[in-house]
Amino acid sequence: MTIKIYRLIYLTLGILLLVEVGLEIRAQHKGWNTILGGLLNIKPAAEQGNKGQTQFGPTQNFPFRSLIVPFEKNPGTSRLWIASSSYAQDNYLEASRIFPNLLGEKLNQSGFRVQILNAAQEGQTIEANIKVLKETGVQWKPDYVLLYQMNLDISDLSKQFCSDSSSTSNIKHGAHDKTPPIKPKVNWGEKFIEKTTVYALLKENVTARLSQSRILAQDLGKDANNAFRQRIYNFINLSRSMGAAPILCTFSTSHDLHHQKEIPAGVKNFMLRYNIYLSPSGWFKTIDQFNDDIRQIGQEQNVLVIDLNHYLSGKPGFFRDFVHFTPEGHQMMAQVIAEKILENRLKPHEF
Amino acid sequence: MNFNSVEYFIFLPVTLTLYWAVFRHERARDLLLLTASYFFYMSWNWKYAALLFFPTVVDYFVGRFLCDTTKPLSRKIVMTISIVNNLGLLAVFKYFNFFMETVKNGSSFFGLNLHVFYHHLLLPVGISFYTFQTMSYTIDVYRRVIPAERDFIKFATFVSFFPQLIAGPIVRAAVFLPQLHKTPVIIEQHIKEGMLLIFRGLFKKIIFADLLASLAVVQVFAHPENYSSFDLLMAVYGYSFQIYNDFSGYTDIAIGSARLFGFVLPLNFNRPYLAQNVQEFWHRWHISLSTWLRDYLYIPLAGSRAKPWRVRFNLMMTMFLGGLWHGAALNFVFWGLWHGLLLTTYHQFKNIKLPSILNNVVLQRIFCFHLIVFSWLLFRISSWDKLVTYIKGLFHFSGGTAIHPLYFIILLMAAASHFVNKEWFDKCLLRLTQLPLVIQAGVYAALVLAFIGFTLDTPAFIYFQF
Repeated sequence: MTIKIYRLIYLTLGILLLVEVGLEIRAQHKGWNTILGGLLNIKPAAEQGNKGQTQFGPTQNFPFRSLIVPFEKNPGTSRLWIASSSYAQDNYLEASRIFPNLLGEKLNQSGFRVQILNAAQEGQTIEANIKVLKETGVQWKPDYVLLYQMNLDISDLSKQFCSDSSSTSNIKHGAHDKTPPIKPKVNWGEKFIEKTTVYALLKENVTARLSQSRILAQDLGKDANNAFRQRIYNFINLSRSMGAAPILCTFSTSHDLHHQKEIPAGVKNFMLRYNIYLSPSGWFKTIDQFNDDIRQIGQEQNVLVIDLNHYLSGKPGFFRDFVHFTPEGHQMMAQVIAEKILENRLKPHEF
Repeated sequence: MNFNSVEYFIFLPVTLTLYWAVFRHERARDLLLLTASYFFYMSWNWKYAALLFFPTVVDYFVGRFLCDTTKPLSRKIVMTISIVNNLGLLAVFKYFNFFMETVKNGSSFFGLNLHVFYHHLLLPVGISFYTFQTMSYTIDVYRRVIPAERDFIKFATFVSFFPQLIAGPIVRAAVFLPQLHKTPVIIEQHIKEGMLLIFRGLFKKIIFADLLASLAVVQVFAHPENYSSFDLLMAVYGYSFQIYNDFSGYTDIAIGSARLFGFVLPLNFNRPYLAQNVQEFWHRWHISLSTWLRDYLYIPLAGSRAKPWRVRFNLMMTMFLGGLWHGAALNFVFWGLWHGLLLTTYHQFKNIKLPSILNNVVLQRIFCFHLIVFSWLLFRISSWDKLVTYIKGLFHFSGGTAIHPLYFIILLMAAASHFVNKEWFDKCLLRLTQLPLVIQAGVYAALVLAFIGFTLDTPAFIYFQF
């Protein structure tokens, strides 16, 4: 037996590899992140936001995408931790143009001496933000912790509460058994494939369109709602236990429930790429519901709530897709947050 | 590591390459297959390995003892130990909590409030398959149908061979062990056929089974009260083709993967929905399980050679246990009993001459198909209330649909691929293996991309839970 007999298998794998490399080269030119770019340490054109802006992190000792500040705190200067995701990290813009840094600038100009710790990281749910805050936040001692996150939590919760567990629910030990269905433990392959360009393209152009043909859920249900509320409570409790004042923000989107028909196909595909269980109207209803929860919890817990949804939602000019901001959007975000912080004359010890 | 996962598509070529490297050395070849199989099994949970290893060791020594001893009593005792061991594992891991729950429900029916104990052990994947496989080995050695396997590595490889470990086919020792003792003959055509089977299985799983589930079946079965009779009917048709394509897709991948290593696994499906009666259905559906139940349960119970009432009892008992084999839940029991009832009815009336208008192959197939479709309702719905809602909904005779046309296209494609002439269909597929290699590879690469794009959810194979 010679190895040649397996050439069909190797050839198939080779073709797939070629397709991926070809698409990665194209993607690199378009300014996207690629595996190849990562291996060769080439930053895509669109992600060279910090070029020539050496005063911004992240660096080895300063893991935040904001103005580098010393580890030791200055007396009389507050620290504002931004717990968020790609909306606040926004590697596609120069660091000086994203809302956390614009906010710092505005507050300092108004005499509110503040250092921004922009801990936003792509793909971070509220739970992930809590984890980072617990692990890193303690050392950096923030006075305020601002949370702007919802989209990824909806995706996360929809997987938990809308995906098909019913077909495998009657396994194992009978109907009383509430343990989740058996899943393979090793999922490094899935993680790897999700990083490929071919996967991203197929998900955006095929899967997202296909998702629109399924019967999609109209809401996440009460359990998901409670789970979301619990995440918010956890965030507030952790912030307070660290001696920081929590600030909550409602979430804003390019379109709202009443203007669904105006949503461009690309935005719809974007929504369904990351969440294949909720219908577009289900999305909007959930966002409205969760925003109401944030407002209600804020009132109940005496936490400042900045209603960004009121100022930005339904204004597509502020967004480059469904949830990420244009430079104008970042300006508006910074403007509203700064005004509300100044209006409320925040002092750490009041919380 | 599901067959439809990226991990498997890395694991398989790597194992094949290593297999090629050690191919000339029989011991190394066996060891590689054994290691790969345990690695595959441990990818779910490393602790499972002990549960696979334990019955392997017990049945290896039981087999040797049964072969070497002639004393009937000792043989019976040892045989009983083996059966108790295998069924005991199933009883503890699969049926204990179900039993406790039944006791609790039964006692509350009589006004008692019993506090019962539940364990929280995970059910090892594929336990029903490999325990049945080792049981068939010891019973065959006991009956002196086959000699005991003296080589432990080969025996352990037979029990754990990864392509069929999780969801069958349940391979008999007489079929598999002789293959392990010979040096497999692998030529390029076998690889091409193996690849074809793997991709056919993936197509069945991802394009037919998973899409039918994702597009409508899951939602309709979750909330039957929200859908018209037409949608409910289409969803149960969809589930019938989902479960067939899911399971037969798995079997195709298993047979194809084994083929790449030079092993031949038995056929497990033969277009079951073409059956004209329920008995024929069981000759076409999950063949390795139905023949297992026939050879090791139905025939020892006296099979069809007993008095009529006993034959009926034997059929009901076999199908009851067959249903319970699928899972520790009442819906599987009812499913088995429904099939038992259909089989006894068939046996009762099979010799009655039908009027010529009913003696029509197509009509009989349609009738039988619908009896099976109904059984899938029992299989799929574990809540009694939901089942009643579903059946009531079916008889509202309401029209209109909330299901996207794409679902109907997929359903039609799945049905067409099932009912189309098999020889012609296989011939068409085999033509692919005669195309130039680059074109074949291109087709497979395109299929991989299609599979990624068409994957909405990544559910595990339905039969993995059994």
